[in-house]
Amino acid sequence: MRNEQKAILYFFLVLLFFSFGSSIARSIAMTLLMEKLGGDVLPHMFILIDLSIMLTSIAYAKSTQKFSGLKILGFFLLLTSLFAIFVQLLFFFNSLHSWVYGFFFVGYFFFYTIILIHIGSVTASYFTAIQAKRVISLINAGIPIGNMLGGLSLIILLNIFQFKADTLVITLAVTSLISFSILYFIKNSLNPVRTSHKVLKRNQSPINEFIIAFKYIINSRLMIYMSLSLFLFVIVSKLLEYHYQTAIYIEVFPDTTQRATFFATYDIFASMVWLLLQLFFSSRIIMMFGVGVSNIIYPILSAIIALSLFVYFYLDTIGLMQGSLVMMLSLGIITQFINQEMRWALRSPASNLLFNAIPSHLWGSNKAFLNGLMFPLSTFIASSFLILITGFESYILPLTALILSILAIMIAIPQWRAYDKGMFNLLNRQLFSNRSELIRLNKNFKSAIQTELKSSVSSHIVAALEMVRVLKLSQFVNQVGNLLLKTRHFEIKQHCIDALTVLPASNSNINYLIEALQTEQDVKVIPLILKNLAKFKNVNFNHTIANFLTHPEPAVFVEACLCLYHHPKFVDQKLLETQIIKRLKKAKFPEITLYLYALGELRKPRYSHAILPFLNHPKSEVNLAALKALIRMQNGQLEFHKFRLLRALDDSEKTTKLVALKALSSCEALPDWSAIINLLAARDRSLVNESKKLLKHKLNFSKKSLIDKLFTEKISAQQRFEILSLIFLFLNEKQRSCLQQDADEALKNFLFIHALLRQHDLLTYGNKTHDLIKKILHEIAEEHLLHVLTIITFAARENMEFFQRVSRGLLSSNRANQGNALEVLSNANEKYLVNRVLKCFEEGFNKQLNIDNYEAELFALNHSMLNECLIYNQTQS
Amino acid sequence: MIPLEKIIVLNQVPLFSALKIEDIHKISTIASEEAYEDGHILFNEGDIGDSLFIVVSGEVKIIKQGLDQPVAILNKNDFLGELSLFDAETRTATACCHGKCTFLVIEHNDIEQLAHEFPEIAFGFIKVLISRMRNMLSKSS
Repeated sequence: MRNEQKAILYFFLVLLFFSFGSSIARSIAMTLLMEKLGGDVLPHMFILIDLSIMLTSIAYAKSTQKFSGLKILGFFLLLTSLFAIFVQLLFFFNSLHSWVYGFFFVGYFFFYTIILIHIGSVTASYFTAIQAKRVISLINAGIPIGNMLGGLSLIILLNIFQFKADTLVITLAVTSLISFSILYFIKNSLNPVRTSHKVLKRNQSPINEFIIAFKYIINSRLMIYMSLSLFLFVIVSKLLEYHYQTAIYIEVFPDTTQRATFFATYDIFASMVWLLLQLFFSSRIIMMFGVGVSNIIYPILSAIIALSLFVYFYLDTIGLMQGSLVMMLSLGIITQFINQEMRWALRSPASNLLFNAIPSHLWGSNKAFLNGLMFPLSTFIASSFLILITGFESYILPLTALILSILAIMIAIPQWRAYDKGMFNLLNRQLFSNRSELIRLNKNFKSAIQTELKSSVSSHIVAALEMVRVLKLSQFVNQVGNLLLKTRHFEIKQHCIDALTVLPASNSNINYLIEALQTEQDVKVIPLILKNLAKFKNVNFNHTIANFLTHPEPAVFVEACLCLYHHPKFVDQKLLETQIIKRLKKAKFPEITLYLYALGELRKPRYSHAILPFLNHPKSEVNLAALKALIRMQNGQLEFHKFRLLRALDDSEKTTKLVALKALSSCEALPDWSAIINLLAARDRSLVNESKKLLKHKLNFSKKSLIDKLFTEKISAQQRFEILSLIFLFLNEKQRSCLQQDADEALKNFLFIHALLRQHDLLTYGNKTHDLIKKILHEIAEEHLLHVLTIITFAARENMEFFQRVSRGLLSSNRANQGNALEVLSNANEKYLVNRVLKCFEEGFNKQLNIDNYEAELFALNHSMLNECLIYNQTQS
Repeated sequence: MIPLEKIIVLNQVPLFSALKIEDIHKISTIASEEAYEDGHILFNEGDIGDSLFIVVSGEVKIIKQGLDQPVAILNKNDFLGELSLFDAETRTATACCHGKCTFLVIEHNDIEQLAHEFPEIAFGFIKVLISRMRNMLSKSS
């Protein structure tokens, strides 16, 4: 039996046995309470139950952080069993005291509620997000079946075997123990996919844990919507229940016996329909529409039934309609069915699945918040409203329920979006999980910078200076300036200069730079100061800077020249031009690059003749400097040099390519775009971005070449993604369907490679090249999968982030990540390929493919290193 | 050793497990094959570590000062000084060839240059180190 089937069976059995015992205990608790204490105590009992759940929720939230969900469930089941045994003993020895019946009633409902709240998290933790959607309804079918069997058994035990009701409490103890023992099998044969407790434990008090959870809740849109939905659901549910119990059933069945018979008959049929819905519809609805949409269906049903009730009772009140018992009864039955059975068949599974988008370690505290705080609060509000509304017209209740249901629909729509977003965010949660710590860091970071600037560790000082620079923290100007004057560390000086330059221009930062220029001895630092001083055009320190024109160091001379040349108050530019040309003629490598740079910065095209000879210099650094200088000098007039720039794209130096790509953007249409399109496959991101920028800028000219490349050549997943990001919107239907077919083919290839991998494991284990071939095959399979995901991303109008997160999730070895990625995919706005990918991952690549000649198939993949491995194997054997 | 054999050996080293075949191929170009006779000392305890040794054939004894017996004996596909590719800390033991040995040796400077040129290689190392750190953390907790 597959692990998934095992997990479904075990959890189904846990729910079945627990519901069986609970159903018997519930009937006994209700009967005994009514008999011994009377119906008047019922509201007090409910308050006690709500209070006990509310208080336990805090401890429960804390324990979910410490212990596994299975342990907690085991603990609750064991306690329930002990409680039932204790109550049974009390009934034997203390049956004269009526408080024991109240105690049993409150205790039973307390354990029943807390176990049902918790068991959802435990079940969900054994499935991925996508599996949970499919199987939860099936598992939950254990509840109605258990209820029906329990009810039937109770009737037989009471009426045929003549048992007394107060002797049957022990059944709950036995069934809870059976459920507890099934947990033992779960523990030994299954592993949770998602852990609900933290691996790294922090010692926090329960209150602190609750505060942390509360902070998460108020920062999480999904949790806010879930809380509001629950709040409205409880109120609407109570209003409708009150309405059909008081305004319909009492009217239709004035006799108590008739009413009891009706309830018994209703229970049998409603439970059967509930079971059928649970087994055959709930999962399908959730799978077909997704979790977000499924959560809108229930409030819509509530709104429809509230509207029907309102119309009927309003027309009846104003005398436009004759009261009909049949119609009232039909309305009552439908309302009760939606309120009770549909709640368990649809609302509960759909709303439980919303927790998929919440990190699993927060499930406990969030559930505690919803069930321990929101639920009792909304019950209290609904009860108060019902007390206040007594005596009003009978259509007021359905009208209120209608308004609240419409509100619930309005909340369910953004809740759907928040769920999809939450799922998406979960895919990247590993790196940025602790938001609250980041917030705390923000508050204290200024004092941290102050401390780090005084640190004895240079890397700490550099980090602090970077913060000052990036955030332009002008209050640190004096500290940075003094540091520049005092330190001997080159890197620190460099960062001090950078920081001072970006801070808003003031006397302070300019004075510090000038003082540093006058006192600095390091010839690597002086050019840096000069270069940065050139950015302050409104201050005139030309006389000081002119002293550096005679400096023996070429870098100092060049920066001093440029600083003066571009200063608005400097007049003798011609002198500087001549000096630079003169030095360039005499210079040797590496100084030539400096003078070429200086000449380019003058931006005078008339000096291009002085640069051209250096474009063919044997040193690549000189070539690059000459090319840069030429580009700077031409001020965008590069049409004449475009072939030279295209040639530069073949250069081995990345920087040369980048410079050429930037310069090509100022040229007209190019004769051939292939060199630029090929750079979209480069491993260096800066090259990809620059070529993409150029292709986008010239899309009118490059579009045709891009489309040709996409459909005629075998290209990498990365190149396909980049090309599609540029032209997808311009593709026609035929081209898009062609892409879909290609992706479909890629998915088949992905499965085929996995079949080859299985064959490979069987045939060549222990072979020298075994691991290497395996790795190559994995990489080929990955490439095919990325191809499919690329097409899904564009067809679904998603972006690169979606592609990256989903592909990382699917390629992860962690099943929870894979499940989250599949769930995000299933919410995407593309169904054809997504359904195929889902099917492929759900089946676990187990589909057997016929591979006749394994080695020939490997050769057919046409992968150079794979071929090399195969030939190597042949020569070795 | 032909280039493919170098790649096969490098593929066994856990530090390179997160790298793509293309990157392992690049590393193979900076890995040199070195052969030593019995008794040759690869490095002494306290030396500055600057290379990774992967045992291709033979045995290497790892000896700690003050101990009579070797603390470990390394065989084919074992490796020494993995972390010296990242820092220049001193060796914590002496490594001595036992019988004729062949190694693939990668120098700290070469790998650093390669990682600068191809950041994916550095990222691959980070992935492996992070995964080790995670394992250590989960074990310690």
